[in-house]
Amino acid sequence: MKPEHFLDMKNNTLLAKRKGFTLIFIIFVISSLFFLGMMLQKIIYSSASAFYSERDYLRAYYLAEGAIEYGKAAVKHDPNWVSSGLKFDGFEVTRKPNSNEIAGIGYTNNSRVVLKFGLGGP
Amino acid sequence: MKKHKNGFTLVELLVVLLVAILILASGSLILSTFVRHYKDISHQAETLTIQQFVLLKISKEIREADQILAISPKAITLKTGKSSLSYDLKDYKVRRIKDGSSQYITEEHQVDNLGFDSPSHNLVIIKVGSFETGAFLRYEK
Repeated sequence: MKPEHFLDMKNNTLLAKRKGFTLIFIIFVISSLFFLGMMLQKIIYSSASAFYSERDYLRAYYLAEGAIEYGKAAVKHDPNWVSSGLKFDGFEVTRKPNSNEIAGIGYTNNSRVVLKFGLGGP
Repeated sequence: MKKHKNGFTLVELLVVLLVAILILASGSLILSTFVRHYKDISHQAETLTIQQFVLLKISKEIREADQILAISPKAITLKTGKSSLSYDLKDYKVRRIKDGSSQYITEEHQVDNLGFDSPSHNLVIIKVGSFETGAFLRYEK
């Protein structure tokens, strides 16, 4: 009795059994490429979104720092200067009455950073 | 007459060629898109780092300055001790002029805009590329 995978050159048995293999192989390759593409797209999207988040955070951080600088300049000019949320384009500065703390808030599209600066004791 | 069955027909070859071209084209498209995006993000990250460096350098020097000699939306001149220091954007590069001698601290187009504003007499709002911050003169004389 011949084994199933016996290559019968005369009757081309094995080739007959392999009919349709090429189609399956092509489907496999195309599916692999599709999943590879999806994975690469996900990597691109993740890295881009991480980069833009970091950029927005940094922008908000420097705006908050600018707000603190604004408060420091105002306090240097007038030690009793107070503000209940002075708003500018992208930042906000607050100093409550009888408080030795300046709060600076920087905000961009997706980020908001709050920095606090102590002016020292009385 | 004996008919030869070995080999491929023209139609089979054309189909194989078409499928191979499709696979190669889609593969190269995916790869080139990935490489292009990667390069784009890398370039933007590098630009961002340079803009941060410029912002920190200018704000530090404003904080340490004694006096603002001149300020316009595109340039600033400071007095620190006996030295004068200016910053502006020339030929798409950030130029730093100290006591008359100038140097460029960025390459072309690394900083697309440089701006200054002074909402109060000892405070400067600095805009470098996509960043913006404030600095006040601590040792104002």
